[in-house]
Amino acid sequence: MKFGKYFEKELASSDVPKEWAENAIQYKALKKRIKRFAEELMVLGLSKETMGILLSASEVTNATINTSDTKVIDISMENDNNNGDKGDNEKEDEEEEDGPVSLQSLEEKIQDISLEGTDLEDKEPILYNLKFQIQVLEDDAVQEQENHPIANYLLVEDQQYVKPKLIVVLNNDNDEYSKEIRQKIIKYIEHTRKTDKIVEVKEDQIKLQNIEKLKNLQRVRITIDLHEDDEFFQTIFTELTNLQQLKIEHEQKMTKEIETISDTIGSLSSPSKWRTDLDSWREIFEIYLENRIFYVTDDIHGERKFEDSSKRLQQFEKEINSTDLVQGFKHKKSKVAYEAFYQLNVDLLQAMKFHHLNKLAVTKILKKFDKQTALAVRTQIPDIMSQKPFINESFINTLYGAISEKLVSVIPQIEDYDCPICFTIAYRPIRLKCSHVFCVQCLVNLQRQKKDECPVCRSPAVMEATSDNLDIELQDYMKTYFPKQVKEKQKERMKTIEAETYYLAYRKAKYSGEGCCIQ
Amino acid sequence: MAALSKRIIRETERLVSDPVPGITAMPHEDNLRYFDVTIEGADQSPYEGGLFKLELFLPEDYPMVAPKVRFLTKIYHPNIDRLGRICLDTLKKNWTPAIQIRTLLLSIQSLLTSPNPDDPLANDVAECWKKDEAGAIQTAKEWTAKYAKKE
Ligand SMILES: [Zn+2]
Ligand SMILES: [Zn+2]
Repeated sequence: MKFGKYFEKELASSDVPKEWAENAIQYKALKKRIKRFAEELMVLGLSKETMGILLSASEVTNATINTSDTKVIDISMENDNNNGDKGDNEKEDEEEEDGPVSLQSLEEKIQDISLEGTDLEDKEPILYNLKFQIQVLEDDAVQEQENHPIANYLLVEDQQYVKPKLIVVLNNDNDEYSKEIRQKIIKYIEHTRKTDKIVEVKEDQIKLQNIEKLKNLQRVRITIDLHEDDEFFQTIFTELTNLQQLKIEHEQKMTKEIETISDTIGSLSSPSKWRTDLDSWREIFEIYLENRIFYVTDDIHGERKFEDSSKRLQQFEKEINSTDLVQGFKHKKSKVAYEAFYQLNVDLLQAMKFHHLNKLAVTKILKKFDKQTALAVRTQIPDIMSQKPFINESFINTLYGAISEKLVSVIPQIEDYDCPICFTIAYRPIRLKCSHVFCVQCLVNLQRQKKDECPVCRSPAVMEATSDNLDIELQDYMKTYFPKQVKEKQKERMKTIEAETYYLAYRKAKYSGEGCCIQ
Repeated sequence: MAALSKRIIRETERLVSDPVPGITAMPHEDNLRYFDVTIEGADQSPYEGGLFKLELFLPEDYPMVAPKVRFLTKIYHPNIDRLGRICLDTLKKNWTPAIQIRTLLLSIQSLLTSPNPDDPLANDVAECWKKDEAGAIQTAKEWTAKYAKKE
């Protein structure tokens, strides 16, 4: 299935709420833009194939271009401003050598050819409002090495969006590509001049001057502000900003929801009340944590991550339904809270899918852009994206963390109260002076073996412990929150004591004379 | 034999479901106190690329006493002798019942990265290691290639 179809289908599915789908990346519209942009380039003689050759040449000679920049003499500047000597110009250019700054300041100096275009609906891309900046280059040395014209496509960041600029350097000899592009651009400018009635006379002259430069077959650098790509990037960044906003709203809403649910569950599970759902909630959360629904592993991303989490959520639900935990709630409100809790996870899953789909759409559309124009924007985008709003799925992890921590910490987990030696509840809890806690049975074991070091931190604290080290507060807490485990542990303890008593009695019988045998 | 403690059951479950990278530990079906262990030699150590087999046994008094661990794969290391016995503080005087099987195996794994010839078990190996470290490392690499090949 083509991605466009797939994207549409997925957005329409029940996994994506309608109000979100409206904010999704407009994949189809962007695809159309790319098509029109490719046409726009064609008009200037910059077909995908030509572009590929121009760009690959520029990769090799990028360094050369940069050094030659310092020797650029801008004719339009010389004409307008004769008081600056050449040396100064050179210096200025040197300072502004690379990056968007130089492009912007150049724009101020160099006269534009600016033509009013018709609107988008017009099928003739030739009438768009394109801007050309034309500079004559006076560096024969570089040119001699070059058989091809060269091109660079830059995405220059501005405050909100990204401004694309195409820079083409044409040779002054008769190489085939330079010739064709030159002709096409001249044709374009002349054509728009004819069709456009509003242009002032003064501007017209400048345009003529520029055309002359092109016609004179000088080596020129042309900076072209194209129309469709501008629209393309503006659209995509507006959509990304909207998605970012939507994401923030999700996040706020869900954070609030998590708080509400956790408060409710906390009050329904109060151990001091006679009717409490403490045990049921604890078991539910144990199952929840075991299923690690949104747990992140480094090797699982995107689609698979969604499928993975989706399966785990189903598994969680299945496990819950196989018990009577929800049916057995003592409070009706607990059932409602459970449904809200489950829905929260469904919402999170949906958000994950939605943002992933959009991320995929952006990736695909940029790939398409590169494929149809040969302009390698995807290598430039990541740097830009890191500073602009982009679809970031990390908020899923943040929210999952919030659920695990906040919601689940309402119910104390038994693991936190286990003895580090026997892995059962540390009842009765003996707190050593180093503050580590062990169950009395394990501690007595250590003392019998004369092991003075605390098993956790090795400080000498075991032998001096007495019944004074019993942590009564903790003991009460355990009795309140983990009555089942405490009872089990007490039973275990009784068994051990019985066994030990029996053993001692047996020894007594064996070694203290035959008396008992006679009896 | 005493019933398996909750501790051993929980440790085993976790070792299997959430293994330590580079380490596997599987209990025998007929004796749940006996584990087959493998440790991968760490990158940039002489044991890189090797897979070392060990046996681990939990005595009845575990965790009050340390597990018994032994290399089954031949290994050239100053703290491991010809019989595969390991000289590691954690296994002897530094054992505490709060140490788990996974922590112990991690210590053994890191012993492979940082051999300690000043506290030797295999005296001859330790001597070589001190006299000619480069040569000893070379031998360790050769032994790894020869005896600890991954299948
Ligand atoms: Zn204990
Ligand atoms: Zn301690």
